[in-house]
Amino acid sequence: MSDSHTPRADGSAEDDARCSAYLEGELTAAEAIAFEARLADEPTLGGTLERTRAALESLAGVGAAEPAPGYGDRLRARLAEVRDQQPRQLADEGPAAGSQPPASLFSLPRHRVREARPWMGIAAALVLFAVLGGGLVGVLFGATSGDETAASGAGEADTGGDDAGTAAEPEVAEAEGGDSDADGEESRAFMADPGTEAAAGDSAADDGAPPDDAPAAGGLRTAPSVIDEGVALADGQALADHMGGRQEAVAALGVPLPEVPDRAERAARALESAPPFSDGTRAPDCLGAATSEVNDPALPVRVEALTYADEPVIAYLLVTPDDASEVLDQIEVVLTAPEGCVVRLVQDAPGAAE
Amino acid sequence: MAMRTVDPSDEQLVAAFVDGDGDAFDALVSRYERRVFAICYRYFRDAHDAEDAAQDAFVALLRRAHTFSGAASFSTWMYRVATNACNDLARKRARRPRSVDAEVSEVLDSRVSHRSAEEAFGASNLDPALVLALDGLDVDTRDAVVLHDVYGVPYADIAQRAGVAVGTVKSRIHRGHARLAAALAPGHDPAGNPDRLRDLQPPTP
Repeated sequence: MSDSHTPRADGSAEDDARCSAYLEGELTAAEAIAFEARLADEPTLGGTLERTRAALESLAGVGAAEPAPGYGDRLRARLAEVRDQQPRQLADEGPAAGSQPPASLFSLPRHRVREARPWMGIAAALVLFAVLGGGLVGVLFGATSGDETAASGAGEADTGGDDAGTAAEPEVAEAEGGDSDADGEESRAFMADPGTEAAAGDSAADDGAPPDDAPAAGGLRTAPSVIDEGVALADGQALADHMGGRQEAVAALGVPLPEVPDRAERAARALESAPPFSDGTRAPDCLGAATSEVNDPALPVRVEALTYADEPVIAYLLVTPDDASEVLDQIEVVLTAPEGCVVRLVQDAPGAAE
Repeated sequence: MAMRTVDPSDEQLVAAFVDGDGDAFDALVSRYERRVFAICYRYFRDAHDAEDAAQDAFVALLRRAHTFSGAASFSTWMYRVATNACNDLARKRARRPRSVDAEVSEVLDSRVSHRSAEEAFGASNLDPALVLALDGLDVDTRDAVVLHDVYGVPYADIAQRAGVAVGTVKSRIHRGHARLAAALAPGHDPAGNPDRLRDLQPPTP
């Protein structure tokens, strides 16, 4: 080798290379956490990291294209859209929006959907019937287990007559947990506001066609359920038991593949409006990592923060096509580590409850 | 006596934003919008994808600014946020950076490839020490670094070109980055090569 520059001569060449891997997002979650812990205590390592970043940024600037005209305006418009949501979600908390950790969103009062739709009233009534009757579940895409149905249903029922004053706000519904999964703790379920799609320019509600998140067609809705109940699962069997037979997944079986990309895109957008989980991670964070592990196109129907084998994970319940299928016909669950989105497990989920 | 205004540091701005100062966030966006785009463009070599990823990165900043601990500089933290946004968007769209053939044709059409890499480097504001450091790398490492960091060629395609394993390419690139960082260390005295950058040409099929 003819290198004229060598890394530090104190035996830390591996650390130097690790700075590069860290910046490129190539360390595992555990490695990244360990690396960050060292940064606070090792100024030399921090200095190397800074210089590596400076070198990479300089190289990235060589030959970089100019952004398309209007880039700054589009960027600020999107940020304004996101910021418009957060302060209103936090308004009841008092302090400034930015000073609140995301987890505080779960403690907020329910938020109201922007507009009442006829199907929402029907859905609310059906869910109420399901709760009272104790047997009819699965009407709503995001409501499966008893307490989740209660949670979502309560939110729906509350919103039936609301005005348009809280456009694009997600709906947070809470219910006291009676589910054994939640060990008696308060359970939290979230359904992204279906109305946000219309606000974002979706024409489904404007052209006379029923919104595709309406529960008419087999209970299939746009917004995946986002669950944070503190569920702890020991192994794959427990995972299968927990995820098996979820109505939101069953409802998606049979969807023709040409329809899936659009639905998946809408589902991803809906997840963007979900409040963070109690640990600060967010439902859409590792969606890409999860869907990359299964057949395309994959439709996310449920995202859940849980503990698997004593490790916190985000679980994505995905409905996918078999290799030769022309419709969605299999259900899979992908577990990802919240940090780094490292995929921990990919497993089939039974279509019927076991 | 004239008063001199000192711009707040990035770290001061992010602290102000976490305390509820929206203007501080706007200032951060203004400072970083081009830098983040450049990072993402290097990843995707596609202005549309780069813009989408850059937007995602700033949304992540908006939502996670409170997690900035100050263990590294804000610049470095933001670099990581941008890189993660690129990785996530690529996974979400099941779209990696261009394959080798597409990459080459794109590069050949790009403004970089219309001139030699030496011209491109010369026209850039690249730190002279970094240029010398690049030239000081062994050929395999330098090729891997330039293809990856300047032309955005994916690891797998570099590996295919070089006839080595992907892991070998990653190792070369990370090692190369470490050497470039060393060249930027205070007090480093680069030993320039008179024929520097002579081989830094755009990739060819």
